[in-house]
Amino acid sequence: MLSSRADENAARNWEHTMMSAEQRAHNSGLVRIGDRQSLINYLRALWQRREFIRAYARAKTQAGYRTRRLGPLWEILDPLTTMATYWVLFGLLLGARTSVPNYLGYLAVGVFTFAVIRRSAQSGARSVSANRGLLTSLPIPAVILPTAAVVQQVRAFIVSLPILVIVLVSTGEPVTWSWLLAPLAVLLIIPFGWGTALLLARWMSHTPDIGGVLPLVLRLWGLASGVMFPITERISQLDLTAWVEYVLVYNPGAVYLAVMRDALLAGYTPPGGIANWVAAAVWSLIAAIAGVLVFWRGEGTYGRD
Amino acid sequence: MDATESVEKSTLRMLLDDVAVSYRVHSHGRFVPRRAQQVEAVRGVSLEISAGESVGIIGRNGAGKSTLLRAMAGLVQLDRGAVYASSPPVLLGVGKTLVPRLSGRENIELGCLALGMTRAAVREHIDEIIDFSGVADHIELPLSTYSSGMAARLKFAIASSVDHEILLLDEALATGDLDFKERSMDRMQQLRDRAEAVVLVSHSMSAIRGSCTRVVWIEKGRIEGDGKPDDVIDAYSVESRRRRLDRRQGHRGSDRRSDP
Repeated sequence: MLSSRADENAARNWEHTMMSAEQRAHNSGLVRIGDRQSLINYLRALWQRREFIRAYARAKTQAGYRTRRLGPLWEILDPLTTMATYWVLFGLLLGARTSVPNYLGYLAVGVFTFAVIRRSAQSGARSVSANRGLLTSLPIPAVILPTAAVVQQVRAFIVSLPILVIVLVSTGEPVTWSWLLAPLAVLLIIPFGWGTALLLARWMSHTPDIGGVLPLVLRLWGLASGVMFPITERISQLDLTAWVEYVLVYNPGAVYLAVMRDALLAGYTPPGGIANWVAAAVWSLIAAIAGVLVFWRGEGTYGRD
Repeated sequence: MDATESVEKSTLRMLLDDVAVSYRVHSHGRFVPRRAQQVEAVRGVSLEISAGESVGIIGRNGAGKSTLLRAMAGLVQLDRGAVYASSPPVLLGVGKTLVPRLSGRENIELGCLALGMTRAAVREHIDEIIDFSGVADHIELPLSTYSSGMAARLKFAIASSVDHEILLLDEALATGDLDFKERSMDRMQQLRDRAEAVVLVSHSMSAIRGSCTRVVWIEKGRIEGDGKPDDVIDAYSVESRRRRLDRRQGHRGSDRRSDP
């Protein structure tokens, strides 16, 4: 009988060790490492690290300046050289400068605005794959990196804003009440840029090849959205099907350029009119929600082997 | 039974349940990656770590020590098993630097903010952290110009400036001069006194002896020994010596491989 009791004890012990690990961890108040947080907690963790995001974006910007002799001047030189190139190519050679009343103003708003979208997408896409070391050495959720990349680009845009105003005023653009709509347009662009950065960052973290084609795709997108000249007017002459025109007018790039131009240029009315503002808000919402959801679902795979 | 369980509730900091990790290694062809090979780095490790313990992990190169540490931090996908902890463990490795392009000072600021300090707290403590790291002369230079030892000291200084429940260190204490080693051992003592759990991977037996209350010996991804530092280190040394002799006599080929 003694042996059977021993067996019973052994069986109970065995059962205890079988179930114990998870149970004991739970009883001791331990949580499983590597489990994804709930979406609410994830966003809360992002908000709690806002000081880090600001410091990181600022430090990155300054590190970028340090590697260039002209430093912060590039924040202004970059859009100005782009503008000059486009003015010669599209304005002069292809004759686009007669297509709108103030072509230089049109071009300036286009280049400065699209730069925020393009650079957010580009540096956001790189942010995770290029900083895996940071993810493995600091206790931060990965969502911080694309977010900081967008913050950095928005800061750069704000720094370059006075130049845009100078270009507009010096080309004879009147300062009107509708200029007050421009900050609203920028507020709509930021969540869109953030969402795009998040989507691309997840994609690029497991398919680094995207980095090779992204710059080209983004420039083509700019062309199709009318950064350089009002492309829809040219396209409509080609007598294309209605949906192509629809895509050209209401793709997010065109929409954000349209609302900025609507606010800042007195002599230019973008195709689509007031509908652009609705579309801009809708795109912001879609991009931000999709970006957060997709990126959150990938948490735990970033920075891992 | 009830008594021990209630004690456990308050002191258990980390629990590893049959943790196994393997890497897929792609052998590269001329143009595209060829077949993937499975390398088992950790093959079923169960471990319990309590508050106030500092556990040294020893073993040969490629035994799976660093992988085990990364598994504890949730940085690798587990094949099976689970890691439980009272709060997310903070891992400090030497290999990965923080932000190479930024200066030491900026890295300290960022590191402290990431660990949850406020800006005011960072401003208050930064001189102290710089002082402890012993890299004050290079603090305005980019981290990319630091030696790996300097970077490791900076990281240890950042990490140990904030209270954690669980701190994981990879070789941080083995680097640096005698002065830094002494100061970091004092700091380890403080961490233990604050009832925090520390896990340290090192090849330096003196660092382990000086700062650990318990040693786990890993061999081929499994636990080979677990106990008081002197006992386990002695057993490990005996085994290493035997292996060296064997190799010299040619009975056994070298089966070492480098850390993944």
